[in-house]
Amino acid sequence: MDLLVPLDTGLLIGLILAWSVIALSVSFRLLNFPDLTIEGSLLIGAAVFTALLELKVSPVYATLSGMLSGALAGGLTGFFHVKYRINKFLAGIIVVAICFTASLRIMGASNIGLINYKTVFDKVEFFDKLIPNLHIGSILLLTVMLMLGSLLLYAGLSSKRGIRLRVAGSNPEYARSLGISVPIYLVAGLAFSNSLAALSGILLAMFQGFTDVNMGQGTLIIALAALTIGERLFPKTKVSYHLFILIAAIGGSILYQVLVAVAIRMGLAATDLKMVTAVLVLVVMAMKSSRHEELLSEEFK
Amino acid sequence: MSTLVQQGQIDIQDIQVTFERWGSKVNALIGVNISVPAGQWLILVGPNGSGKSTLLKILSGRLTPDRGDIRINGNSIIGLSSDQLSKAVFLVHQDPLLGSAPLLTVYENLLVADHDAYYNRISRKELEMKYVELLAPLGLSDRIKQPVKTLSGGERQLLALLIAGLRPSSVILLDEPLAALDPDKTDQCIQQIRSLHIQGKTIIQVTHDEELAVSLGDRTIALHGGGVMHDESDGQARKTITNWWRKGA
Repeated sequence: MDLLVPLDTGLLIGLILAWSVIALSVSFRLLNFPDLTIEGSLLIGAAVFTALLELKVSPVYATLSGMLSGALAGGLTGFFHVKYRINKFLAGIIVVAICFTASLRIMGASNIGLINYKTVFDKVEFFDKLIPNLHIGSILLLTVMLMLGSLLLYAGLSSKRGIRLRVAGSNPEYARSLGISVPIYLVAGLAFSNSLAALSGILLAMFQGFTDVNMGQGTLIIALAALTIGERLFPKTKVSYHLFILIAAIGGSILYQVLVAVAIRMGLAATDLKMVTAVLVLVVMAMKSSRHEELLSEEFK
Repeated sequence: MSTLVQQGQIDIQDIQVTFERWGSKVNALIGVNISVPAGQWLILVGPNGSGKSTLLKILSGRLTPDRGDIRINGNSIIGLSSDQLSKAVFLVHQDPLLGSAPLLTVYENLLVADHDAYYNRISRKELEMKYVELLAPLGLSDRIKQPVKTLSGGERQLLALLIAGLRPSSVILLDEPLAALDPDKTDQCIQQIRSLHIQGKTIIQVTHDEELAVSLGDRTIALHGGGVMHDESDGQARKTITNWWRKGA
């Protein structure tokens, strides 16, 4: 049963961070905005959630408030970019810095434990104990949440307003000629995507039992690596681009985390994780690109 | 705004645009006055730097003139929001990549441009049937579910012209839409422009093709050095513009 440990850890973290990867894919791929804010919105979401739990606010309201704080962070990045024409990267960096200080202020400490509070994972504790080394209840809960969320997101992106949002991201000049207000859709889209990153932070805080002011660091690299792997490995034919992006984000997140967990289980030091990430992404890119080259050369034979 | 939407009379009044280039002033347009009756198909010609693109930029709301006004059915379009402007004017770019959202499907591109479909509750099945009917003469009906990026340049330009027909705007601006197209696609695109003309849209088309400049449309205006050099509606007189052009403008 020891073999299940990396699968268990990989699945749990992969399902939690999938929300961040979806957030990145919406901003990066659909809005064409390389948004760095998710590092800050993941943190501020967890910070607001934790601070409100400490104030005895119901977990549901605390979660919604945490997501709202993430939405504010994303909206702020968009606002800085459209109003003051600040470079997309710089706008994100500014908001991440704001989120870090704001989170410290909100929490009043750099680390707060959540052991004494009941979370959604406590509701499935019974199922978690059914199979040793496999948190079956938590995995099922996170899977159902992710599936329902993704279905709603897919439906939203396929709606008339969702199509306008994607047009604004895909070709802003053309969107303007159709009367679409690109700045409004950009700010709204970033607010929405960052609320998902905040949800990721909230779930992570619940799962690990504490909120730390450094918990957002590295999320962007992880999300980018997961998205790259997902985009490279999942077939994109015959499905719409936004569905493909959702599949790639979820699949990439789970696959990446399982592979990292396997690597650590095989004895790799946690300090080498960034190198593992880099190698993993490089290997996937190289594999797929050589296959692509092969197909191209066959076509020209 | 309703008068703006339904008709297409354009009055270009005393338009002046000056650019600064390396410390010296360049007059892109010098007091241009043009009146285009509703439903007219106007061809705009002229050498590079004559002011055609600048005029199109002003008409499409992408540039504000230093002086003068543009009126559509008596209403000034300067300073209108992108939403208001999109109901009056629609621009088809020279580059087919700019005239659609490449990652969205053909269906989604048509839906987002279709003013009636956006504001009315019409089932997806009905809309698909409507779009398949529109795409069929262009040979694109089987591509409705494909992303636009899978279409060729010519097919994308045809789609852009089809989209122009779905817009509520009474004025269509065409910025060299036939450049870099093969003869078949050029013919198909001309047919599409003719059908826009038949719909009653006012068309201003920029071209570099001297034959098309006098054979298409109802009227040809030649710009030179930021001003109107020739303005001919009569068939025989329009042909003199070709001679002027051949002599090196």
